[in-house]
Amino acid sequence: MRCRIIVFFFLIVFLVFTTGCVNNEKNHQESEIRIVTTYSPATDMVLSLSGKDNLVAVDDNSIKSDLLKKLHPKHELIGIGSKKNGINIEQIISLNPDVVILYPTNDSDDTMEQLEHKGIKVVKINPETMDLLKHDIFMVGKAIGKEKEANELIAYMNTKLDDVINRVKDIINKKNIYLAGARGVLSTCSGSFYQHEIITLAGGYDFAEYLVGGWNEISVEQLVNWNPDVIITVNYSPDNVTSILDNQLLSSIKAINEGQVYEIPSNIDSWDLPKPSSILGILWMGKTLYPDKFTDIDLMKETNDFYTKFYGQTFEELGGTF
Amino acid sequence: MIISILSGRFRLNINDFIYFFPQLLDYFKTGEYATPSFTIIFGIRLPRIILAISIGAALSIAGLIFQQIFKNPIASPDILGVSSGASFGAALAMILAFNIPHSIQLFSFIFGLLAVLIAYMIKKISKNDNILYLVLSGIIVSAFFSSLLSAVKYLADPYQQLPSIVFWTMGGLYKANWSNTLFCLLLVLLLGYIFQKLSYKISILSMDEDLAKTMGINVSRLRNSILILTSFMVAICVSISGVIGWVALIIPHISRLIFKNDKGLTIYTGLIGAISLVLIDTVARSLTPSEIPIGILTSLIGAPILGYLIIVKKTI
Repeated sequence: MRCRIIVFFFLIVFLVFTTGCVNNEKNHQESEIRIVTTYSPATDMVLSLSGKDNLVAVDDNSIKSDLLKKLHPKHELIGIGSKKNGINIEQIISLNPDVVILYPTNDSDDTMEQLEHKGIKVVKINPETMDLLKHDIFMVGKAIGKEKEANELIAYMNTKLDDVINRVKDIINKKNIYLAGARGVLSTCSGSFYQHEIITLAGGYDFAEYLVGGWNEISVEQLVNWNPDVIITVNYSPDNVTSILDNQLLSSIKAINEGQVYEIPSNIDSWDLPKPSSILGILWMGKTLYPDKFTDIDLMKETNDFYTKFYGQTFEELGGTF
Repeated sequence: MIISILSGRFRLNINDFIYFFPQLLDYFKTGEYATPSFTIIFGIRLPRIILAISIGAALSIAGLIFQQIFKNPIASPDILGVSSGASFGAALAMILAFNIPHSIQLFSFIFGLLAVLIAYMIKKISKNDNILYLVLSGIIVSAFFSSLLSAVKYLADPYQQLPSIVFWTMGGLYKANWSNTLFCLLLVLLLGYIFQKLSYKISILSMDEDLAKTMGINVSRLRNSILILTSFMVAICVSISGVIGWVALIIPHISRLIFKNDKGLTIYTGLIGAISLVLIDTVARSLTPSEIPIGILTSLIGAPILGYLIIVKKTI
């Protein structure tokens, strides 16, 4: 009996170890850098640096990305988890990647250690300000062998950013902006979110700058009290321009009375998130808040140029509309 | 109530109250809010205060009834799984994103009540009349729905759905409007009246089942009817406000401490619960620009009070 138990025990141990085994066989050319992203801004960075063919796996959110589907219609990428639900390290290692781009969380240090132990290069990004975004684009570019493309993208962003800042720098009466966020008109971003940076760079005053944390839930009363000049909503909110304008409780707000409610474009991308296309978000925000300062800017032309330069197709070819 | 009307992020002055009634008449004629201050008083603060009164009273009365029937000072309506069922229902509606109005409230209510009914079925199948089996069934159902809620959170998208689920499960009266407020108020008044009428029978149930039987009371049927009715009331409240913990547990103790076993204990408990929740909600909506989920405040205040009652007053 004891002998059977010992044999059974070893059988279990053997099964556990063999099912955990991964296929480390390289089935790709050595020159081709294999990239795994675990965070949607990272996927976007790789796509904008002409790295779509190098992607072997992405996070679960990127799998659903419209932009990825349009750019890479026949992709067979695997979802390896997400920042929220954690990532499957075993799955990542089995794909034999050269570079893994990680998000910053409490457990990402352990993940980083495990991946580096396997000889995989790990880049950790947290682009919650414009400076950090440019820094992270450079780091990612360097890691995936696309330094030239990264420098071009950063130079483009700097040029556009300087242009917007120059156009809005002399404005004395800055418009008061309320950004309606991910959970509807009564959720707004905190001062530590990238959206706050977009508003500020485009010359607006963000009411929520002293809020902390992530998306904050506020009351109708607080919004009426702030009485913003302009309400901007993100395009992944359950509310839209019509529902905000139709909300009777908000009818006394200046932005509602003057019809100053706008949604950040576009249908294939969200320009308010910390990724390269957010430069278009800043440009759009500046033109929306101060149209007289941006009369010579054709936003569709700028958008088509940006997508052609960094994604290889025009915005309209990708099915993009405002 | 006056303190609560005057408190908030929007500063009101005396003129706002002087012109309130003429503006109210205009509102009934035109259906439009004339000024920001009228919007704040009539459109936002009043329904929210009345909702806080209704839900505070309902949860406290429910807690009192559960503590009496279970003969247990730390029993609360959550014991039968109504909160975990309602939370799962709300979360499910959020990730499925139905195009039905009030789908979150509807799902929350249905699953809250379903959890209680499943707990009853488990007890019935066990063929044991002991009330302890009902508690055990409640624990099973709570655990089951809690794990389903975790599964829904796992599937939820991190930008919109997950934060919404988390915020909802922490409770809040930010969804107050005149229609759900008046519905909740009428329901609580009606059920409160019924419970007050039944208070004598409930107090007999809380003392001795044999005594109740000798008085010709069908103990099992009466107990189940009262618990189902109470769970129904709690499920309605939770579907509107999310999970607000501790109110049902603490308020009955405070009420008993002040009024002992007075004939009007049910009414007094409801009143204390109503006042408490109005005050706590006033803090939740006034203290910071962001909404503080009311469940956080009720736990923060409730836990030390329970400690005080156990250690100092020795009432539990």
